[in-house]
Amino acid sequence: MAAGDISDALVSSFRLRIGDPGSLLFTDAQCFAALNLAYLQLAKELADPPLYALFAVQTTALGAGIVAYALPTDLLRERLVEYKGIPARRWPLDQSGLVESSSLAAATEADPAYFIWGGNVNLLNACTGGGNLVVSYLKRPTTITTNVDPEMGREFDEMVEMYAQQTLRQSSPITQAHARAIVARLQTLTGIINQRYQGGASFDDDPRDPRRLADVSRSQGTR
Amino acid sequence: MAVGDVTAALVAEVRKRIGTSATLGFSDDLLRLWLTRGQYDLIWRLHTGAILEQTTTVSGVLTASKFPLPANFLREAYVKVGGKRARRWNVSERRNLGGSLASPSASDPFYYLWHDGSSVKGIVQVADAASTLPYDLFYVMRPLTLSASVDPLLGREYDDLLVYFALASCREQREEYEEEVALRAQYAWSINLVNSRFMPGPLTESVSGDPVDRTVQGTRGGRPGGRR
Repeated sequence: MAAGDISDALVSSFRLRIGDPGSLLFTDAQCFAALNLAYLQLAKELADPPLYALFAVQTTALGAGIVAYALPTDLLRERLVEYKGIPARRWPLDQSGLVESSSLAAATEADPAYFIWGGNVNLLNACTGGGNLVVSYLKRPTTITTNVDPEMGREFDEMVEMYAQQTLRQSSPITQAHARAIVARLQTLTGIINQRYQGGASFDDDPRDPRRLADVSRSQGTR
Repeated sequence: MAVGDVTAALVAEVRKRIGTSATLGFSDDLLRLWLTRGQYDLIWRLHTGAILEQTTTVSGVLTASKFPLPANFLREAYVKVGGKRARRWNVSERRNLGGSLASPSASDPFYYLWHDGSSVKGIVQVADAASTLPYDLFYVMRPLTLSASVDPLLGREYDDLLVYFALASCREQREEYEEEVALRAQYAWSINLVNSRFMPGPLTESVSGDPVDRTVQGTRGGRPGGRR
């Protein structure tokens, strides 16, 4: 398939869904805008694991005396910052004073810490330079166009269309009730997907499964 | 049956229930698209234990403590490293690996999925950062895109649910919303029954509400830790 074919097919099926195959009601630009909004919405609401296509890393060379490093421009949410290979502690800005004043929480190159502010990763430890700062993050979904395909998998096509559909249907009192029904279905499906990754249990295990019981006993130190 | 016959039968069933010929309203391509979407929806909603045909395992050896994700990977269920079950860890909590409670080793491996700079991989945490231990990835496969020559992997017991899904999409497009809602409710009800087999409570061989449950719960089965 050529670049953009998946996006074009998505717009085509979306048009059938909204009953506008002939582009009489909505332009392609409006359809793309609604679909792109949907991708952003899903990326915001879904748990990380099903969004693995959005996992990304940014590596930046550290400079001596420099403590602020720009976050990736396509950052959706950051998940880990490693300073010279060591996972750093993330501190809320309003508590960064603890790191500065407490010997217990002091940030050092061997025990680095940072806070996120102003589009930067701000190190709370002194930086001597050398090595890298690696940010593991989820990126924003790419804006799809007639030449750019979605990064998120085909498993999200239906949800993306549903979300886009309800945004367009909100404009008319005749279709608002249907839009609400779609939102309810989306909320259910989002909840189902997120639920698979909550609670700390292994995915899809039967709670009585011996494998899971073994996991529990292991975590409790009884194995 | 020949290849494609199941998909053709599904399309015919949707068409029969919606009451249209191929030339009116919905093309075969569109119905196959909705049936394909239905597969994804079922795989999201159904317990993994209920979609065995969609599960598989890939084995290999780690390369510098990493394993690649197969092209048809949808979600993992279980990872073994060196024959030991690896515990899934959040990348954001990597700092907490190494303590007395979670100390990665060949006998107690951990893993997470993340981008390593070239692609998204399984990244294993054992004592050796360049481990070449064998691994087994048990995972759920992406459903196939249905066509005239591609059938679903899902078992035939889900044919009816696939038809419901596609049919609801047809009703929605026709703006027959009441019927659409009824179909989706039936679809969800059936899925809930299937999933209930895998929830804590009655034995998986029974269905919640089945009179058999009362006997089972009062005697030998029932909720773990509950009344026996």
